[in-house]
Amino acid sequence: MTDDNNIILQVNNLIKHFPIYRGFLRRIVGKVYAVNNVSFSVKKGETLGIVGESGCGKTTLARVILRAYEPTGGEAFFNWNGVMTNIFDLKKQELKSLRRNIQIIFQDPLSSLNPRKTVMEIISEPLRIHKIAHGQELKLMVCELLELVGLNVKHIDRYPNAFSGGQRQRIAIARALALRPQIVVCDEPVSALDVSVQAQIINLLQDLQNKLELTYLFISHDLSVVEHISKRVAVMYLGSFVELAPSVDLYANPRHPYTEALLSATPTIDPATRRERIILPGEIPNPAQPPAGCKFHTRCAYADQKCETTVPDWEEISPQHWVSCHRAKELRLKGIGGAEASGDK
Amino acid sequence: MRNEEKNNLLTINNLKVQFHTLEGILHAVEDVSLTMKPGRTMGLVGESGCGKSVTASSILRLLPPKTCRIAGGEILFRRRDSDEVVDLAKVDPQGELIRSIRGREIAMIFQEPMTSLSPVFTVGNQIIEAIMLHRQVKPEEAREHAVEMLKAVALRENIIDEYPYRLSGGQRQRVMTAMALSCNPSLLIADEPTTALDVTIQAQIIELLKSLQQQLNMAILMITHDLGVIAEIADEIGIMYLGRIVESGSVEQVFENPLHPYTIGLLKSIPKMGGQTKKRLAPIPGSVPDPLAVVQGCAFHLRCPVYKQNGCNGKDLPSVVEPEAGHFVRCLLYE
Repeated sequence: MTDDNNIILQVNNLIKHFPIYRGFLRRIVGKVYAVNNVSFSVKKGETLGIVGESGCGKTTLARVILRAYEPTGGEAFFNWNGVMTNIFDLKKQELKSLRRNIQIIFQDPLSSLNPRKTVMEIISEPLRIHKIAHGQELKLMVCELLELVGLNVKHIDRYPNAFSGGQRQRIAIARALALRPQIVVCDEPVSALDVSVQAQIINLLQDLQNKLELTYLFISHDLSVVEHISKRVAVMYLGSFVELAPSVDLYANPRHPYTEALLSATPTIDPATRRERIILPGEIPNPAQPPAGCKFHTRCAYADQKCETTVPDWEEISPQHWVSCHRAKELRLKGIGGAEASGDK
Repeated sequence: MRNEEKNNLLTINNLKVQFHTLEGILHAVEDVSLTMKPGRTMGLVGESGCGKSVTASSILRLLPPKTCRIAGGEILFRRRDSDEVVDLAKVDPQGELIRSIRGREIAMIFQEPMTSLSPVFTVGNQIIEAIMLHRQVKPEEAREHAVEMLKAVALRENIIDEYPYRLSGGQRQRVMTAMALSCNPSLLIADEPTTALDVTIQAQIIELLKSLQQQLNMAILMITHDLGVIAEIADEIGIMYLGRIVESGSVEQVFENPLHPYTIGLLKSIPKMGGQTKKRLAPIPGSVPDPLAVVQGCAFHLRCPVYKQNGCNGKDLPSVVEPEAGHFVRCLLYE
């Protein structure tokens, strides 16, 4: 795809299907096609945003990369000290040391933190599991992490319930950073937070990225947050990427009808720009019975006969801009902002 | 600030709601005043715990009577048939009067459409129940009307015999909307109606509410934390912080010329889409204080970036002023 030197994660044709069991004998009667043939690469130090609606497979994708779920097919190479290592081939012991390098932050910090452990116990747990430090040294490291995420060191012996939502998310971030990972998967890290606090956490994530040279895989359903934080953005629909491009390009010149519809559906805080919106008819189809051909054709305003039968290729339509749509070259789709709106007030 | 009552559908004056908890008295709503006119949409925006949902629920007197008390103020509602004005703050929350208003003249839709529909009755049963309760009609007529309502919210007719678990989130929210509108209410309270939904479905519901509002000339009180949704749908807007409306006005006024430091902070902390230059976000420092702790004076002074300017000492409670017509703000900077 691009020059290989800087690539930290390379995913090729990743597939994850969940079997559906039914009846007394728990026979497999079908499959949920959660992730289908997803390929992308992430460069060191960049943020790749993944957007999509609920049930599109974005969280499954992240969990398969972490091997919290076992993949059905495909490969994922992690640049492990210069060697491209396939995550899916690793044995249990190797996997444990891999996880020092890839960590995750979850959406709801209340359910991702153990309510019966103190902040000290929560943040030090990864350090103890990997036998990195103990005793006084361990406590010093935890204090350092608390300072890093902007929490008061005095609160080290408190329990999660004593903190507000934003502070809890800071604890979760400190825990994820304890092992000095290279990649952090952020799965909707700000969706459960109030707007004023959300901005604090976004700024913190960006500061940490600069300071520690982190690579983020940033999953969210909120297009404005993803645009703000990501260098490149992938749009996911029903288990597949439909478009992947640098964020400026994607928002100004979407090439896939689904991206266009998503952008148009997102409310903006400027009442002067109440736009004619594109209302997608219907709902996301059942991922256990995805439509034939292009999966989006059932809701697409531009679909023609070819779309109903043939799956479109994943192709690079212009440099760095990947899209999977038969009509991508002919359609002129509307983005947001673009040239005329760039004059910021 | 006593509002003009003429022509107003709903007038809330200095509403005060308290919860009696084991840890003490929680002042959920301190002092809220607002007015609503027929056919208009008012948006109440604020972060969690600011009292916006409590304000909405107290209009219909849906708050738990054992722990919650309306400690002051009035909620004046103009009835449809008699044009008489009743004070909902004073009525018996389980009495005949409020029950004839609930569902018939004021309807409400909630955030989580799964928990607000009964899982053991079909969609049709639930809508028909609401219709039969408020209108003297035969069951067949009620069913016909239910089908009409489902069609009005763009659902298929045969959904009437489905159970809620068979429907998706967006469909359930449409069913809720159909049920709420089945008695042609003059006021619809929508408490975070799109928060649990995806953006494309959210856009469908917003368009639906807008078009139904035009057809039925009803007023909508929209409660949400999402400023984007408010900018799309509301005519007037009130920004709430810790039980008080700190700024109110038309959407254009508040979004284009925000006055209160809290409103300014909220608008600055949201990433703007389509912005080519990615500026660093300017968050509001700190977080919303514990609702049990009573903050002296202006509740926002603990987080206010311009606090201590212009003689603001944080101790005095600012009064509401009107720097431009129809645009109210509660901040010492403008006194």
